[in-house]
Amino acid sequence: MKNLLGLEYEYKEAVPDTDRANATPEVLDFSELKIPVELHTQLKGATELYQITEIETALQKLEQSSDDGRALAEHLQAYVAKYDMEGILEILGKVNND
Amino acid sequence: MTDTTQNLAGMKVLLVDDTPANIDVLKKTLESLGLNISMAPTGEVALNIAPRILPDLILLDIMMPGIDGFETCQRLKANEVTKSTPVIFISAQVEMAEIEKVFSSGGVDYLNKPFRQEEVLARVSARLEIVKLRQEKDELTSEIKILEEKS
Repeated sequence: MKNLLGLEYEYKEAVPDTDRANATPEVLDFSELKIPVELHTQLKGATELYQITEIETALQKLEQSSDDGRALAEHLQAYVAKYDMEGILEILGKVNND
Repeated sequence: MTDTTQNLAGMKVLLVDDTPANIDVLKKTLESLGLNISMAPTGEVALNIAPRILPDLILLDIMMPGIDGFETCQRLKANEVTKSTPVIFISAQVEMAEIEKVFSSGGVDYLNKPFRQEEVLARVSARLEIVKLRQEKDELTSEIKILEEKS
């Protein structure tokens, strides 16, 4: 084919698939994490109602609240990007709140 | 920040579409107006959450799995809580036959995909301005009523 058409192929290194469906957040032990109860309540309420802007606002607060909060917020970002509300609720169900 | 952005900031818009990429584009576009965005991946979810979040405007895809946009809109209009919430339909291409259905099912406007940012902003802003004016008129009417009762 190359000779027949006189083409020069350019080869590129395969780029990792970062498609939203394949984004797999790193595994965390959620039962070890503690976050403030008011943030947990805010995040859960917003998620149940699919309120994206509210969820993002809550995640920003969570990120600044503590090391646990930051780890959880970073983890949940991948679920928000997929609009996976059930996934977020499932994780929130495992997390401790003060 | 423009006057329009300041005026509309915080108003609530519900995006109903089963394609996350479409939600991404609309969300990004509408966030430039400072709007508060919610989403629903199906008509069923929209019918469940709309009466609870009370959006100021709903952008509703026509072709969705389960109940389609037209039926979703009819059911929203049949609900006392959501009947006056304006609905703008979104579709890959609104055919002539569909245009009539857009309005007969209770929609106020439609947007074609692929989205043109300027068009989305113009149509959504125009509709939200009307909603805001109506809300302000209702508030003023209530205040006048209270003043009349006192005097």
